[in-house]
Amino acid sequence: MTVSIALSDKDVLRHDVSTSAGTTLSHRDLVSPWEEGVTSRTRADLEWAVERQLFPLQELPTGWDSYGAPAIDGRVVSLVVKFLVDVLAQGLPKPWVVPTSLGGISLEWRRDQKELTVEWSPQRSLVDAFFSDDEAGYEWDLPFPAEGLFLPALASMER
Amino acid sequence: MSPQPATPADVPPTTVPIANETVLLRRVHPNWFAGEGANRTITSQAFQDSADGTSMSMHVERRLIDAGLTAFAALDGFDGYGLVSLTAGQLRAEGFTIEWDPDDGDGPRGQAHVVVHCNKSSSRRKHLRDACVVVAVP
Repeated sequence: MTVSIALSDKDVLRHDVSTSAGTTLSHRDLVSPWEEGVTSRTRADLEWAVERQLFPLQELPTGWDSYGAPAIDGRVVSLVVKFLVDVLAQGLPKPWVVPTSLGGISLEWRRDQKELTVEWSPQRSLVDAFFSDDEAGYEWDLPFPAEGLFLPALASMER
Repeated sequence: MSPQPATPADVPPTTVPIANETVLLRRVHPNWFAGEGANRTITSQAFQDSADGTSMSMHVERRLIDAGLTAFAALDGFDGYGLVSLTAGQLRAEGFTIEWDPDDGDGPRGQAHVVVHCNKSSSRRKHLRDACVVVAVP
């Protein structure tokens, strides 16, 4: 299957960092895994939906993971919101949004024996990307955009 | 009859080797679980070091039992969290080393505390995620 992707890896990393506004939503109202990709919304709708799901992560208190995790960094939230809106605007699959013990955010896609993860950490300027295909016995772990491997891997997650 | 709490003299010192069949426990935040029933899964983020550089914390199940507790003592004070287990052998097979790290401020549970060293690459964390057994769900 050929998938046309206008999203540019470079564009994804060029987002400005800005402060995210707070929200009173529950942090349990997160993006769930394996939902169908969003394809018919306007960009403004997508931004609203993504912000509504990611902003609550900033309410997780210090130590939220029970092992001393810092609060989720608002700069990371802003970067991930923009990245995820770009992804969903292309009709690509919706990931599971996961807060990390390092105060960052991981986006995770799974399909059958394949898994794709992109992880932002406040301590690192690089964004880590990881892909594995257990059926093919193949995996890579590279800085985003993973030498051009990221977008094909994400496209392969489409149902 | 409920088990009597062990005295410190009953609990072996934290210098004893940790056998490969030893079960180790890790708390899992509810945001790290997804799905229901047979589709339930956790994220490999559950097996990350701490942001301050401290290696990943776990508790030795046998040591909790020796102290008159159960595996679920690892969840005391953490309502809504899940619990997963791995054996020491599974961790070593991925290249991790395990070191006793008693937490004297955490009562008998603290004497079961260990840290798991090694670079937690995405691949290694995924392998731990795939190998772990879910003991309790949130």
